Amino acid sequence: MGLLAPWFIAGLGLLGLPLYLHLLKRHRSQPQHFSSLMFFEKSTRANLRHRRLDFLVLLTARLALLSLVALAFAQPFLWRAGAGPAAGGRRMIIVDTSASMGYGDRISRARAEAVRLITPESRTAFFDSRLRMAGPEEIQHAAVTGSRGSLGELARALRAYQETEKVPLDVHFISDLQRSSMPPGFSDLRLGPGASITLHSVAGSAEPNWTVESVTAPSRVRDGSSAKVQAVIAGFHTKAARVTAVLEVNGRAVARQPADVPASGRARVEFTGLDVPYGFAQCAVSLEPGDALKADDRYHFAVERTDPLRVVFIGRAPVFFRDALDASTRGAYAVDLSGAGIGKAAFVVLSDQSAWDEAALKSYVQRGGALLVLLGPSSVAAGRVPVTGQRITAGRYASRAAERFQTAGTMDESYPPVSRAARWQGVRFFHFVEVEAGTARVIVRLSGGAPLLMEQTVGAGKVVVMTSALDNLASDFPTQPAFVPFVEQLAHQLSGWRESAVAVAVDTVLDVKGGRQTLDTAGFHEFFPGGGRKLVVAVNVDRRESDLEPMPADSAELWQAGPRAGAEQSGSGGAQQRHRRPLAAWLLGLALAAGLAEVFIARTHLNREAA
Amino acid sequence: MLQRFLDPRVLAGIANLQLTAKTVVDGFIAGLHRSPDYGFSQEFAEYRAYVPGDDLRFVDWNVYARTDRLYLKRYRGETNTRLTILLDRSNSMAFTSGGVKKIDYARYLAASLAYLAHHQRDAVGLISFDEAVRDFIEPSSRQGNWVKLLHCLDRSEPASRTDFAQPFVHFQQFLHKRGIVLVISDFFAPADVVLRTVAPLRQRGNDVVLMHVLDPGEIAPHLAASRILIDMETGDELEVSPEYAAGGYREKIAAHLRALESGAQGAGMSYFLARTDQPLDAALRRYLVVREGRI
Repeated sequence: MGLLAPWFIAGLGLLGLPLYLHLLKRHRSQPQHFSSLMFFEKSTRANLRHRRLDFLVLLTARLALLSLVALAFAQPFLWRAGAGPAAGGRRMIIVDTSASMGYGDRISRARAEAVRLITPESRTAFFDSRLRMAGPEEIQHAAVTGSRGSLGELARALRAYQETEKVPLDVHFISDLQRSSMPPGFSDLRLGPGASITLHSVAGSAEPNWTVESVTAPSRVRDGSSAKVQAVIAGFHTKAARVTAVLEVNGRAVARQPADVPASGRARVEFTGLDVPYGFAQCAVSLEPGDALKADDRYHFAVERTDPLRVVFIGRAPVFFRDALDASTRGAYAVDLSGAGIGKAAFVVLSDQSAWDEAALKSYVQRGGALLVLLGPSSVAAGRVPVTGQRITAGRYASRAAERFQTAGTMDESYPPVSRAARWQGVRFFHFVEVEAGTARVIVRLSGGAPLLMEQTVGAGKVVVMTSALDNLASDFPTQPAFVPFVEQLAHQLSGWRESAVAVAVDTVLDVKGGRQTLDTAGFHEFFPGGGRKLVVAVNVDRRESDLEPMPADSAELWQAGPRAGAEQSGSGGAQQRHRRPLAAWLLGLALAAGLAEVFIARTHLNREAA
Repeated sequence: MLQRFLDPRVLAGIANLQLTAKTVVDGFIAGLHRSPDYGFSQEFAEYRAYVPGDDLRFVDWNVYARTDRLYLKRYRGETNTRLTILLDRSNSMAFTSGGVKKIDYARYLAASLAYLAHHQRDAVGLISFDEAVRDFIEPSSRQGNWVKLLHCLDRSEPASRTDFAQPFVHFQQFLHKRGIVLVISDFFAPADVVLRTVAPLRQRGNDVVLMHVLDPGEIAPHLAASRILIDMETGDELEVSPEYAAGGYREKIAAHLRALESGAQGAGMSYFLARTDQPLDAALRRYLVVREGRI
């Protein structure tokens, strides 16, 4: 007999509680003086003895309940001789190929251990973030991937495999057994019925390891001289040291920065100026010199250098819109007030105009352009909205003094410019133009119900209509905090701007044109999602692989011993084995019985006391 | 009219025992005027044969001259008797279940009876006892004696335990003359022991009245839960269940009361149960009944 979790035996200390309550703090009858006891006889004492017997039985039931629960949690088991699961089951040799296995010679030791364990009947597989079956000869050439190992995922994959194959499993897992690979709950490590796992660790103690943990850099720059790149250098189980971070652009080191990293701590380095050529640049921050785990010594990121997008602004009061756009996008857009050349504009803004070149605008929009129409007092005279032709019925004014202004009422939160602009709280509109919405999608309505922001598709392009001008006369919107993010998001919405350079971790699934794609290797990946766009994705090893601390020995032992019914067998299958027969369920059943008995006795006892 | 049926708890509020007795008795007597059965008259009652020891002043010499026999001539109103009150002041008399203590009730009772007797010019005496005789006041009808008796009652605080045998041996020395002997006690002793101890007083020609003072909590105790009861006299402890207090105990005390009453009647004594939650007039009435029978 043995215990899988012997520390739960400490729970037997709780037995002191009922003992204390029953024996030391037990109920004492309140003494009361009485004139004479000559009429009380021995039969009374017998009755009390009967009660004390009840009392002792109750105490016994409570002690039994607590001790059984404590024992059940300690997971006792009995050794039983018999055929193990491997006798009729399937022997599986699984080699961990996650990124951390690239530390030192771990992967080669894992290969050697796998070769030692392989038998003619055994199946072999790799595991990093998922289980991949492989032939025995492939095991000998097992290579490290950039994936993150997840022991919870391994247990889930084994359960699914066993459900499919309908055979007991005798799993031998060769891994560095990182603590960071463990799932949050130990129950996630459970295996299927009849399955056993034997862990073969190729890791020693917690090895020191340096890593570039994260990099913060702009994904798009117009002028790289002012761009800043910040990197966090982290050490796991390392001593305090000075390391050198190197900024690379397209494989060429362009800057170096030393960083003093405290013991098992982090330090931040900053590079000012990112001189990249036009187009996409493959950048990285790396450590010099590297350590035994190369995969996390380098952090990739991509930067796109472009000219600013041209915005043609026609009409009155461009200052608020332009300033907000410059402030929020840091020069990504250039506002052109000349009104010429709208055909090459990212989008066109028509602000409070009574006359315009309808044909040119319509042609531009129908070819895929975007038009923002801001309606003001001059627009009322035109009687209709440019391009969409929506009818303008009236212009409405409200006094600033009499609090007759209107505020934003209902909003379509799914529209990005609105959802990211704090619902326009506190914005007061003093002038707006009443427009018949027609077939346009009304995004924002005023508190009076009139449309304030609408979008309508025209041809291949779209027209966004705002029924109040973006100046400080028609509303106080330009002075409110929601204005700048609204203009930024509206500009992105109109120009169709998308992030073109992103950084993700290995095994990220990307939804690109043509289906989903898993990014399973570190480095740079290029995609063409359509519309002439190009997407560069920088993929890095998950930094949770950088912490090489192995899982606690007792956890490993519990995982090996807990769910399985058989003991470790290092030789080939078929040998006589000793099995552990868990007793926890029986003990819990007895505890339940003791609990019911306690309830019954206590109820009887208390009823008698109450009587 | 003074209150006749004063609640004992009201009497407990009267600090002066003399005033308490007067309050009780005056109210009681005022009520008696309406009753034809009781009163104080000067009419002839009976002749009684002379027995050695009788006062020769009461011998009817005319009858002796005619019949050559000695007879005593007795009148109702002029008939005086000797009332001796035996007061139990053992520890058990200090018991109360919430109302008046038994010892207080007994003192009111003794004081009232003494006052009533004094009012009728009867000689009144007092013997208080527990396991021994503690106080003794010779029966006398003088005014000062009654005051002395009241002072003695005032001092009578419960102490020690009851032992009927020892003090009653001494009573024999004090009670030379016949009269009425009122024994006020809770009689927490076997009934046969009580009767065997008290009976000699009756055999000496006394009219003996057993005034059994009990608290209602002693007759029908109510326990909400198991309690450890401590004997007020012996200090013994016993844990008692509510079931027994409501069942077995009540049967036993009832049997004890029945045994005392029937035994007293069998021995020619009068028995009266005085509950401390009842007014005193019933006890006074019982005294008068006994006194009327004693001419």
